[in-house]
Amino acid sequence: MPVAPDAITTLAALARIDLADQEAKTFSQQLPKVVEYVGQLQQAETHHVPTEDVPSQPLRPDETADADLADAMLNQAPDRDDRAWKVKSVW
Amino acid sequence: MDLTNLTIADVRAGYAAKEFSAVELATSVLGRIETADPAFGAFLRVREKAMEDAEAVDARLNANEPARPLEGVPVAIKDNMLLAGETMTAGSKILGPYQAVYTATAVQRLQDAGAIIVGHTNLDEFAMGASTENSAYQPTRNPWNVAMVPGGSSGGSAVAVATGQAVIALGSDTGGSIRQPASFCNVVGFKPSYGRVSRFGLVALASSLDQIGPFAKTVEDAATVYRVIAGSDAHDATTNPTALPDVDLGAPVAGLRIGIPQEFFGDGVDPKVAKVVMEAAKEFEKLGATLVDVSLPHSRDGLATYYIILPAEASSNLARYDGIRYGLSVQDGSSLLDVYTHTRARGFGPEVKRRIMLGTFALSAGYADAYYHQAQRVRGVVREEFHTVFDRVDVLLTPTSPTVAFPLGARTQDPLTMYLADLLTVPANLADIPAISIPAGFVNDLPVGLQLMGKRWDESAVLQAAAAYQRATDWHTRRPPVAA
Repeated sequence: MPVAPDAITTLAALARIDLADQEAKTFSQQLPKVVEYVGQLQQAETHHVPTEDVPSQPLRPDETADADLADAMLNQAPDRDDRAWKVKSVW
Repeated sequence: MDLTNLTIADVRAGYAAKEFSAVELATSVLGRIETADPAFGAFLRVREKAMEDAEAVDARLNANEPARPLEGVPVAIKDNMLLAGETMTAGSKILGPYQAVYTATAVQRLQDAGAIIVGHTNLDEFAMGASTENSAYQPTRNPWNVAMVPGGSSGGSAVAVATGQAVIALGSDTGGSIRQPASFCNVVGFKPSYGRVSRFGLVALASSLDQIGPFAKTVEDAATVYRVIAGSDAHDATTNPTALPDVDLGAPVAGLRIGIPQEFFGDGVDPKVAKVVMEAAKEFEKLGATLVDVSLPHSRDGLATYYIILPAEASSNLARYDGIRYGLSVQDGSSLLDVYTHTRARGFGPEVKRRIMLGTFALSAGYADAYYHQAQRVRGVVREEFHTVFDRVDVLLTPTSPTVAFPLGARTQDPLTMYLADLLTVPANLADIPAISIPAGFVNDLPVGLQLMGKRWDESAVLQAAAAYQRATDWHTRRPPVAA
């Protein structure tokens, strides 16, 4: 299934990456080859495989505990307002 | 005693006989990193607190306290594992630098066992790569031939062990990132079953594939570290809550059924590498094992399956790097959206961007069924094929990598050529099974690794077979030429 030429721009927007023109050009040459390679999977025969029964961790009681990490985390905020991360307006 | 060629047992014996102290060993290791590592670039940062830890070990030993399993053993950790209070880069500029606010479970268990963490090793950015060339900081060079790559993404950890700059190192393996560099650098690299080692505190790449595992010079050391880091963790819901089975490394392999899957020896595999590995297989026959020809038809689809599932999961996991809560934050635009798009444009390297976009594509409306959901269906069939083959055999034996180490720069222009390095390793990640790479010979003076795979949760069979091979051979004792 070929990738449309403007696909790189659309994908970059979806992925929240502002690609430079040269990057976009390089990727639009490289990515279709990868897509073609992985696209071979469409020829693969598959059948329904039942879900594996795997042991997993039991749930813990729904109780809060203080991890005391807030300061360490806030200290790395690119921009902060007291105990909050400060960001540009969503609107 | 050569302080650069010690096993865990050597370290423990050395302390017990008072041949050297932890401070002396740590000084020697840190000194070696300072003089030798500029030629290899294995380490991103040396850990200043290592000497403090060594002093604490000496205090314990002098007080005759019982030695813990890794007491005073110098270890290196791949720089995608958190250690509270210390910088972590994930080999990327987008983290900023980032200071870890908690410690990864696997790292905590090393420390609780007495290990001295000497430094953080280089990796492909966010563990995406097979050569460590995608690191945003520096390339790492193969000590067997410095014009060659060490493999990736855990290239730094593999080289640290291969050059005696650490006794043990931790790496992570999503599609071969422990086993392939182990193969390229002539060391042991072990990926346990998915769910054996906690991923808490490991930077997530593909959450259904990632596992942490050890690099070591011997299977015995790899098994020791595995037992320290593995086991149930309440912080990681995907870990197996049942008790870790004992491993008897001395168990003989007479009667062991070893499957040789034809798909791992044909197209795309260097015939010289295949030949070395088939000769290694004959060693197992001499030890009394039986070789069984088997076929895993869907393993041929493994790479395509992997290169859909991995980018899809990575695109989701890497969405958190957005310039908001930590790390690089580019504020030169006018809108919040600009913060995201400019930060990620500036902070991510090209391979990371490529894989995020591939993943976005595979999950996007109109394509998700043909790509992502189809890949999940194929993955189910791959898992089932491995499951079935283990009714007939106990372990599988294959080359770890289709080739020996390739030159720096040889595969950086065409991403697909780099992805092909993972051909023989991704099936074990897709099938959630344990797999190890052990030294098995040389081609053109470059190491060849042999891969053993086992049924899920059957690390014992894999480690036992690997240990038996090392008792009968000496490939793993070869050391690369290292500048003093």
